[in-house]
Amino acid sequence: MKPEPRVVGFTALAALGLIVGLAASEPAAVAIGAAFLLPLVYGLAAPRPVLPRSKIELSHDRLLEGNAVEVRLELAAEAPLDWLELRLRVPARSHLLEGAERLVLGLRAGEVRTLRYRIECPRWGLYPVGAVQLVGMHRLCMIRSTETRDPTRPLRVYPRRERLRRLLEPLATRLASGSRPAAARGEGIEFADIREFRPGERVRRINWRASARRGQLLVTDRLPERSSEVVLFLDSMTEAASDQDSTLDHAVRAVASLAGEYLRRRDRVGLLNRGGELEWVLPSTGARQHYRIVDAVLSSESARLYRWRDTRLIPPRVLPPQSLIVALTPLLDWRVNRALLNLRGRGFELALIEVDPLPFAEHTRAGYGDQAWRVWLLERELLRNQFLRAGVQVVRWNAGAPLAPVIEELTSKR
Amino acid sequence: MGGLPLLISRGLPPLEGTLALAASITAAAALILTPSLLPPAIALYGAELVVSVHRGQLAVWIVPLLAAGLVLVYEAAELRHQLPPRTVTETWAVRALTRRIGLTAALGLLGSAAVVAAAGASGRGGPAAAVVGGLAAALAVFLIRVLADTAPVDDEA
Repeated sequence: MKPEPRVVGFTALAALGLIVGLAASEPAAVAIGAAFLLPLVYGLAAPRPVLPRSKIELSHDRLLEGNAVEVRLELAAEAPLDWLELRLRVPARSHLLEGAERLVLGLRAGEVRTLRYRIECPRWGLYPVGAVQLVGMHRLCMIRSTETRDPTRPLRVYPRRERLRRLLEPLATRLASGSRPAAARGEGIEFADIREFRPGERVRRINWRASARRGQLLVTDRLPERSSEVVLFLDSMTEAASDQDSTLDHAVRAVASLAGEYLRRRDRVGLLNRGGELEWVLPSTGARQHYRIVDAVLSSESARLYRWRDTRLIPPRVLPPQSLIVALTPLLDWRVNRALLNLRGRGFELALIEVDPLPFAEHTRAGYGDQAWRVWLLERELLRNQFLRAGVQVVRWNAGAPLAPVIEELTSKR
Repeated sequence: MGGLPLLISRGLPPLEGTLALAASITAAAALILTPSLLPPAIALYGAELVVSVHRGQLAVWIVPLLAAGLVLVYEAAELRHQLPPRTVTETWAVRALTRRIGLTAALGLLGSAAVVAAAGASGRGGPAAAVVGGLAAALAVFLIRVLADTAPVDDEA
């Protein structure tokens, strides 16, 4: 056990006084040593402080970014405590709106104290809200008890969703019903065409009004409503960041928005998260799938460690044939770029939203010089052309702007 | 900066003045930089005191008061680092802190006075004073412990 610095200081001064006093036969030195010795002995004779029991309750388990959570910390003292230092550990990138981060208080035996805090979480992620450090001391503060209590579950802060009226529609549809008109005609609601009646066709398909006008039997062709499979590809390998936000922050918000909208249209949506590890969520439908996808990206951080996993190792169930892959990437990592080109090479329909890193990297321009900056821009342009040649639509997204115009641009380019 | 008057009045370099100056510089560094410099600073102040008493510039009876003052200086300087900025301290904790500082200084005064009294009583100098003073200090601890254990803990009433 490491001794308290205070105990070390008092002991050193007491010992020094006594030794010098004895050696030099000087009562004054002994007197000074005794002035530190007596409080030391008295302080060390105190029993170890008993820390209070603590219970932490959060007003919400889940939160939307930008909102605040209320934290209720209850302390119940079994023994009296003169000096209790309490430190609430406010998670990184969150702000304490109400309550004292560091508080020193005293508790009577049996006393129950409730402390309230409000913490704002401006960015999506997993926040370990409710971690407290307790330091208890009494008498002359020569002995202390210290304990850190961590929350059992982190607070989940979900990214904001942007409403999107239009979505990039996959070329191929599945047999399962959905809300997207299929390319082939069949039983459905969506009007496709009117044509002549052929023997053997069902009577209910005859368009009586058109038949009466034209004097011959005509039938209405309809398009069946089908669903599609969409895989969202998130590049969390690298990010360009400022103090406030990063390309990854915006990319995750875009993933949440796109997943929500595709799922609302009854498409099957999956996720490929390319960070230090390759993580995925199998394509599925429904509101639960939205939570699965968002939960999977909440812990995304730019990768510090990297393990190579070739895209060929991705199970076929994660990337169903004829699915549309919508990739969100700042195009900063060659490994991700190569993986995307590889996917395109395997015949997947790929749309690429480039989360523009330039606003975040502008301040480095002076450091590297104009020439280096221009070369870098040219390299990026070359990369975009490489994707275009491979048949991939690339759209630049200035991360501060809404996502809807970017989707419109992608749709119009097809 | 307790040594400065000595330096000014007597000129450089009397031993007490040098010790006091070194102590003040170390104390300032302890306040600004790290509390680990506090014991050396207090030791230097103590050395200055001992030299002054030895040379007859200070009366022995004043040593307990100055020793208690050193304990107070130690407490105050340590507080500077113990409570980081933006710490909210409740009234009860402030009272406990005041009590703690007062009690530490009182115990320091008591221990020091016991040693000086023992030395004066024995009239035989250092080793005897240390032994008698140690016994007196042990007795004082015993008395204080008895008092502390019987005293009510809740002083709010």
